[in-house]
Amino acid sequence: MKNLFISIFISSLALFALACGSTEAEVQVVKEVQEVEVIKEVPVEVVREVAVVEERVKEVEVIKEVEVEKTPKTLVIYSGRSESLVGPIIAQFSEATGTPVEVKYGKTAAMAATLLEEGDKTPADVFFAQDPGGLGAVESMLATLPANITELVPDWADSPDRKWTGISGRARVVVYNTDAISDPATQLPDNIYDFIDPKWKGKIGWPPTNSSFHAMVTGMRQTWGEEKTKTWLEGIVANGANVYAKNTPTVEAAGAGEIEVGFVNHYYLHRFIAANTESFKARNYFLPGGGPGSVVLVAGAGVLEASDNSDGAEAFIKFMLSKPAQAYFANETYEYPLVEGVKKNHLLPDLDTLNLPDIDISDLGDIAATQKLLQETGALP
Amino acid sequence: MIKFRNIDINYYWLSTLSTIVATGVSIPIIYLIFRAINAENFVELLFRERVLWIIIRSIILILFVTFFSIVISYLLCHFLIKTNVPLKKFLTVFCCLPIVIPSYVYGMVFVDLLGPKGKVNKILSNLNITDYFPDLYGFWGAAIVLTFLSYPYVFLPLRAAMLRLDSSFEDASRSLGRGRFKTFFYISLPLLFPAIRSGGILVALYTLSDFGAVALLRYETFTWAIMTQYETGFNRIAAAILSLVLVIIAILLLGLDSLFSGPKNYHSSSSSLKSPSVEILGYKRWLIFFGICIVPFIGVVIPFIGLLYWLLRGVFIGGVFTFNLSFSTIFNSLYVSALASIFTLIIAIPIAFFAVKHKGKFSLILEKISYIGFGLPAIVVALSLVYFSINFAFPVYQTIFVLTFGYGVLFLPVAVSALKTTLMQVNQNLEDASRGLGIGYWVTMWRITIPLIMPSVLAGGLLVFLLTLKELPLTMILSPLNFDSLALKVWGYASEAFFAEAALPALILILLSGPASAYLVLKRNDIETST
Repeated sequence: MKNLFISIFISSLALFALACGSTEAEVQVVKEVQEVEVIKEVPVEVVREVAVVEERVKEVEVIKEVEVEKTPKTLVIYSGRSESLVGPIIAQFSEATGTPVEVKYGKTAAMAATLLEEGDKTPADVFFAQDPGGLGAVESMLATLPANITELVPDWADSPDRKWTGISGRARVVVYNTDAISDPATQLPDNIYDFIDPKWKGKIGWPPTNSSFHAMVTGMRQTWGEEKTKTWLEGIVANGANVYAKNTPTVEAAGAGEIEVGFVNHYYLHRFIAANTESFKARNYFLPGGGPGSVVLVAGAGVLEASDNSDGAEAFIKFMLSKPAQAYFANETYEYPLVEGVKKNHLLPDLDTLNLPDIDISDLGDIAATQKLLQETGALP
Repeated sequence: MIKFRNIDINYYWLSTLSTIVATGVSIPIIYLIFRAINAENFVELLFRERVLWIIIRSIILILFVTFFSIVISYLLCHFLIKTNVPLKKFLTVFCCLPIVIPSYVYGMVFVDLLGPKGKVNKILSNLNITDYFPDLYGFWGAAIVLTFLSYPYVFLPLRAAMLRLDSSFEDASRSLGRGRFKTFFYISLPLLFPAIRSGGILVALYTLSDFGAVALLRYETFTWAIMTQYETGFNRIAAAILSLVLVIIAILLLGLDSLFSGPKNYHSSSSSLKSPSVEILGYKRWLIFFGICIVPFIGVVIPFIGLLYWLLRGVFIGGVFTFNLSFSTIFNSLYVSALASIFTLIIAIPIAFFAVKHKGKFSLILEKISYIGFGLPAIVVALSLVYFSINFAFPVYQTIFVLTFGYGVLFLPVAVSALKTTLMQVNQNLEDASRGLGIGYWVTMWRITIPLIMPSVLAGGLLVFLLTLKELPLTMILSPLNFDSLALKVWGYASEAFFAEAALPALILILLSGPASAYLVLKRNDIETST
């Protein structure tokens, strides 16, 4: 694992501007520039990587995807995703459509609670949330989305009654310390269930108050049933899992060697590697056995029923599902694009290889029972 | 006790104004009761063994942090005022600075540097210095971080009180043959007690409401449990029920505080105060100098170094790295903090005056109510104001007004305690003399009382300013749309693991606070003994 480069599409931003500004399909020559930074590879992609480096210049078809009429009315967005992630793409939307945008950034849970307090007087038009739990919490306040929006994403990635749609995907992974685990394929189990083996005692970290984690446990309840999920939670608690506040400190702890493995979302690791270079001692392992341990979750958005600008709100969601925006999520935030025909980041394994478990993602918003189970097993206070 | 001279129109003015303020700041409590009434299964939620344990854990943390904040502050004040320790002014400012460090920032840096597998441990074991490194997760980590971030709440009023303390009392005691320790316990401590109390209760409430440090250092407290209900359960009702328990704990702490009653009068009867006598030390003063330095070193230098490391690492070895920080962000931070401090002082004045000038059950209750907001998680205060302003004051919703009001609810006790401790030390005879000369109540207040307490007013205001600068959860929820501040920037980057990008606004936050702290300590024109 001592090889390899990442090349970065620095032209992608310019590309978006063009894509949004023009009305016809056009062909752009985009140079893929090889960056000086050398970032160590996630082992899973080692083979595929070589091919990417060879293509220096490639043609990218830029299609005018977003058919939005200019809506001068101000669009109010409550974003549970932070400005550092979605600020640039929201600005793109505003420029491309001429829509003035007012954004409130905060934690997804804080924004959901705010929306619930505001009720039908809410000034918000769109809620852009980090996880299905946040959207599920305010589902009663969301309007039904038109079918031409929800059909852009696969069926598993939106709510069945079209209250919200996924915008980008994130996979649950096991992040491991590379000093402790040199060969994940043999040293780590195929299925997250097997971490209840006592040999993992004192080696596991998890963020049990994190809402993606809750979604995973909800997924377990669906695929495994209550009893097996309970056994698993009790087993992990009995193994003395270290409790972290959220995903980032868990990944950090894996990198520092405080823990050997942690249960987290996949994309944080890439930012740690970007900040620490290859010396960061943690990598992701996408569990090959599938199941809830590698469930793919979404960050998504919905339109508020009380919105007085639902056209603008729908235009916003369409824009987020346009190819430039999806490419932005793939390249800038290391998330999975959900729209057909947009390439995922080459650092990530294919979604198909993740053995998507048969979980209805909208049910992952059902967290009350999950929380109760977590309390009973002692994972949560 | 209500004395004859106080029963006039002013009593009604003060009591009315105080009642209005106390009602305004009770909005969170009213809201919590309103939310909790809808609960069905609160018995099931509350009466669990785990809840009891979490309450006990919270109380142990509070007692520890409060006690050691007082001890540290006393030692600092003693050596800074009563010895000829070098660089006294610099040290004093240095000792105030930890109050500006947001606990969530310190929590992250602390784990990164001092965690069981942190950088310091790595360096030590690489150099083969020691294999042993304490695991500072859990109680000790949380206790260290909170103690070293919150002791300035005691340090500031205690220092002011010590400077104003007429040392002739202590000198008399010593000359009458009482030893150093007896003098301390019988003379100094009772006289300094109001300041210790007012700071101590703030430390206790701050510890009760803190989430950032306990979450990152992994010590489950009651606020942690409440935040879990919001963050993962999206359950406002359960959160409200738990928050009401927190209110009860806060009330108990405030009640405990009222049980201690110091001497009735705190002012000196002589016409001029005798400055504290300074002990002249030889080489020992340098030992004391380094001893004092340890405290702000832990409180402010360690987080500063950690942030600087993140920033430099980002600049030199990091990947794609963009700073997106404008002057308007900095201006916003300064602007709302200034507004918050002015507003908080305005609403603190009636409460503090009423409590001191008209001591009684009624004024006591109003004063205690004003403290509760500080002991609640800020998200509770914020959501209650969302509910109230959107339903009853819609035009001001998501404006700077509601935001400022929210800061007022949170930080009122900081201003009240600053005012109150000084007010108690104002010699009533001065005011009486003025009144006796036929000068009216308000004119007396303007000419005599206000100038006497002005330094404390400024100090209280600056303290609120510094706290607002770093405040996060309430700002996040109540700020106007498109609003941006340094604290929001820090959170926005840090929560997504963009550490270098988060470090820059955090460092600016600390650097901006420096001059304000310096002013807080140095510009006070009271008895300052220089080296």
